[in-house]
Amino acid sequence: MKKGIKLALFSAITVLSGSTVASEAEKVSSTSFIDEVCAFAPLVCMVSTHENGGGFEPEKPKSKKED
Amino acid sequence: MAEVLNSIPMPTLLYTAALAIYLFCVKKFTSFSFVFVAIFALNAVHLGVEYLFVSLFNTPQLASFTYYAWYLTFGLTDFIFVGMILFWSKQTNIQLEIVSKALIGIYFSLGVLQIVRLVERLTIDSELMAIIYREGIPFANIVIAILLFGYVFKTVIESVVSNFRAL
Repeated sequence: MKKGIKLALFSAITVLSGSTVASEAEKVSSTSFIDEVCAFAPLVCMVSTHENGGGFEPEKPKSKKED
Repeated sequence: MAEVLNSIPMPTLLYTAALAIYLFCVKKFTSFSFVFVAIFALNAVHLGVEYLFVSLFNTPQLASFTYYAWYLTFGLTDFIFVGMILFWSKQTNIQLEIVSKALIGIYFSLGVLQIVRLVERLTIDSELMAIIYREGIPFANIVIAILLFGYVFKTVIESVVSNFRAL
């Protein structure tokens, strides 16, 4: 079980650090990190899964006060 | 036959082919094959959920529901996926390979990311977290694909080498 926790932590750190690198790339260029990866290796993106909404987010619902 | 194949999305064909090749090489049911099938099923569920919610975005009455359900559905299905694999592994006493452990670790992280992003968006709503969410999920999806296809490729090479030695 401890191994599982270590692995989950390692994976979380890996994903978050990868994303932080991505955010740095975002600051430098208007093209997103993923767009650059896909331009470099289109086959990888073609076979990539499309889970968890693919990074897309819904708009925040407007509060009644705003309406 | 060609028309039927054309109607199936290319990634689906590639994943099915990769799983078939893997099973042909190992000739037994392993934890990786179970994880592979479960990822296949989860991918179908997530695609269905995404299409459903995107179609509901234009309904203002359901705006709050779709907003919360978006994060919670993805997060909870990720946790159910991880729990299901761990439960199955414990019940069958089949040890998970390192690649299967890495895959469930990524899904656990994605589940955490969904819930953390929902809470964070309700409170702080920072641009950094938006970027992490927007870039992190496709990045994790790419890593998942690399792990799946990479492990199948490694298994095929090992199978070819062992068959060649046996000659």
